Amino acid sequence: MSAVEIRGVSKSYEGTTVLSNFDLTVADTFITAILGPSGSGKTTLLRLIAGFDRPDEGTIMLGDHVVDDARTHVRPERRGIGYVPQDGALFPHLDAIRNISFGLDRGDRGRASDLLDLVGLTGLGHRYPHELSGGQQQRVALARALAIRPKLVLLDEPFSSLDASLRVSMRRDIARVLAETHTPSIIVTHDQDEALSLANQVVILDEGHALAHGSPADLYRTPISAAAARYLGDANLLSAVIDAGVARCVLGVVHLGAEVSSGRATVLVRPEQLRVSTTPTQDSVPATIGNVDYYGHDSLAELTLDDGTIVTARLTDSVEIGRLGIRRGERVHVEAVGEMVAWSDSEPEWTKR
Amino acid sequence: MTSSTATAAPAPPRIARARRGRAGWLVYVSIVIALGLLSPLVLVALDARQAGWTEIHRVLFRSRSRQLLVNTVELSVVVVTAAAVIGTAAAWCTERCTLPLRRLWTVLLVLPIAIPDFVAGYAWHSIRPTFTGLWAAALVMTLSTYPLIYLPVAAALRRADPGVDEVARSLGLGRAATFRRVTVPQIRPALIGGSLVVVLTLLSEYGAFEIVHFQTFTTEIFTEFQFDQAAASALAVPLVLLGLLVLTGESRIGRRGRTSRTASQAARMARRRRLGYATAPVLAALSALVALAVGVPIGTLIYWMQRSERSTLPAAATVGKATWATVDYSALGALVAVALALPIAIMAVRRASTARRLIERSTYLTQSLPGVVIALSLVFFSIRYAYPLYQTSLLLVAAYAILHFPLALVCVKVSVVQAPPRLGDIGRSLGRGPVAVFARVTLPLIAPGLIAGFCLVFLTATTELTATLVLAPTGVHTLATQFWAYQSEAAYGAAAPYALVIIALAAVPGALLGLWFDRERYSRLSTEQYSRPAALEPAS
Repeated sequence: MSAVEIRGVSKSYEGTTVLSNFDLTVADTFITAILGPSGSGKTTLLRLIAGFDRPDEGTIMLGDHVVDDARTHVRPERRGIGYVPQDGALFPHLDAIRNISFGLDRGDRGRASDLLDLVGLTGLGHRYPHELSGGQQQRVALARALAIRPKLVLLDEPFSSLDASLRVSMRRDIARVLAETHTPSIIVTHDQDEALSLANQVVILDEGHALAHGSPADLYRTPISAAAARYLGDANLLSAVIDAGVARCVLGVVHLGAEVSSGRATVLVRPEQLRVSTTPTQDSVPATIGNVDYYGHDSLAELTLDDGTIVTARLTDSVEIGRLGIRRGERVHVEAVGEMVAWSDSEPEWTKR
Repeated sequence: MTSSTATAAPAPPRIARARRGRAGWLVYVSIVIALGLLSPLVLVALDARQAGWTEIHRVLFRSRSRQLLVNTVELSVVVVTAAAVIGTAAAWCTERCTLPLRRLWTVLLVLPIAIPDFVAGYAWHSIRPTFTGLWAAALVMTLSTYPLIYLPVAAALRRADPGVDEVARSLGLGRAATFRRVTVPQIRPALIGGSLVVVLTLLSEYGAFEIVHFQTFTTEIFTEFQFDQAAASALAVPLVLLGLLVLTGESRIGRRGRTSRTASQAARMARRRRLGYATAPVLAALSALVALAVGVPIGTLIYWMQRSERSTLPAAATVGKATWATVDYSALGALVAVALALPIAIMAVRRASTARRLIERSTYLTQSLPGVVIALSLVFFSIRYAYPLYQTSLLLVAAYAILHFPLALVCVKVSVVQAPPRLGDIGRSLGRGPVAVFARVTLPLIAPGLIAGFCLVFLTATTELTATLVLAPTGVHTLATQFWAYQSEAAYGAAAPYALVIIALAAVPGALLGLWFDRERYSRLSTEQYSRPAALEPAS
């Protein structure tokens, strides 16, 4: 059974189309991340699922129940969906514990303090929202959403207002809490690290359409299109000619993981699939080092091939950089290793699925 | 594991269908309220037309009208200039300098707001009966209106990012040049907005000018009203036009001020300048200002009360009755104003559209209508169309509500912003119905604003004179009408207690308001900027 099923949903606000004929299925027991740039319709999608807004067209199903179609509109208070907005949106006139117990019946108030413990805020129940830090406010907002034992929790960019160091720990805590409570959830974000590290399933949203979907690893390793590849992680997209199962491009002959019909194609080479050395190997091509961005654990180096093509390679600190002493302007040899993904240029992208 | 799919069909964007209606009825309610508020404008026009074109022509183009226009313009120029200089200087002292007892000064400097202009006029005039004419009117009005400039300019100085000043200094500008080229542009919208509110106040003032024998359109309308109602309505036309002119200017500048404000959320507080050897002269100047604006009126009132024989003072019971009538009418008017402001505020804040903005802005037009014009139009209305209402307290309450509606709206709007619809959505998603969400989320959040709006309208209505004089039913005496009656007979001692009670009544909600604007509790959570409170001040 799927937690949410969306069929042919369209929504526009004052003449601006935000979603058009949108389909999406979110499986049960998953953390699904919806990844997309701002303005791609992520928040609208969540508001429609929560029932705050009504789609212009299409059907939304929660479990087996139709909650939105041409005739039906189940009101938000009847849906049992928890909602955690971007800034938490705590009720400013209520303290933390009363925020959490807002949706609880009188007899069930003990649950509020259990939830407070669960999100790691033991003892802070009597603080008002303005007395809590941004991260603490988010935790209270999550506890408040979980209090009603929702069938599904929606999180709208829940970490975007937190600073980088806090974000990582919050991410872990929220994943833990969602797992402990067995609550399926949909989290929208524009941060790809967040989507990759948190979710079991990622949906890439672009201009009101789902561009790709799948597990984080599949989406990164075998994206279904060049656009999807560019969206998630760093990507070298090179034009190539496919012949007899191998691709020939500026990096020489590269091996493909799956068969692609012969002819002109685009091949994806991830930066970590490029091996750089000071001595030539059988399959390597010469290149010149350009800018190097040093990140500590690794570096991203721009390499200019002799025909002028620029590719990006990931160099691991302990191995390549330490040994090679990579510097700008230095001549090196680069080789593509492992299996690549390619898409034939003759087929339109959307038919390949 | 269950499967999941996501497909992206290359569908052409469909033609947008209108949103299915949520709270569309609010717009209709708002339109009805706005029309009701604007009806005085229409009624005045009707009345003036009824008087006939020749009558309008006769009244408007006699030399006396030119004199009235000259008087109004001269007074406006003098008062606005003086009030702007005093208000800005005072704001600079309290906001950007290390002033001893700073908090106390911020309160003392705003106190003249609680003193009705006609009381101040009476105080000065009773000291010297020759205190009349342009300069007398200018002195009284400057002292009572400079807070209307002090308040917004002080707020602008507090809000202004001091980083900008520092950058200017680092770019080689001296102190004076920095003030002129960086600080002044930052406070200009507040300064101009405040000045326009001062002009509106001057246009609608009656009592103070009558006392110091200075004629403007408003005093003339009042005089004519007693003999010739049609002429009074004809005279109201230029007054309304002047008011509309000022209001257009204000909305223009308001818009510009909004766009030029920097977006910084938490601006640092400016480091205060040490006054040093200038401390003594600055303190002396501020003390003199407060002594003239607050000390003189209150001192004079007390002096007259003490000098009077016991027998000439009104009986405590009479004062009590007038106090009760004042509180009664003012509270009712405030209640009605707040109740009418709520739907319009919700409509304007909850969703933005040109139509909604237009409806909201139109209700601010009543700000340009002097009390006497609104009173006249209500008299006209009741005599022509609803005679049973004539000479009832209902009309007075309606006048208060219409007259002070913009004040209520400003407060209510600020608090509706504090209760964004998102919070209501969250409440709904937690399983509560719309009614429960309104009672448990929306109402607690907007209640402080409703109370503040009530206080502000109440305060302004207790100090209102013109409309009260016209509309108070025969036999009903409010503090203002009683004061006016005794003062007209030069019974200064008998008038004094009424004025003191007015000031005391106005001071209580004034203090509550001060607390409200000072409160910190929710403000850090508010995501939207408050609407500019420059239009906040009374135009009595």
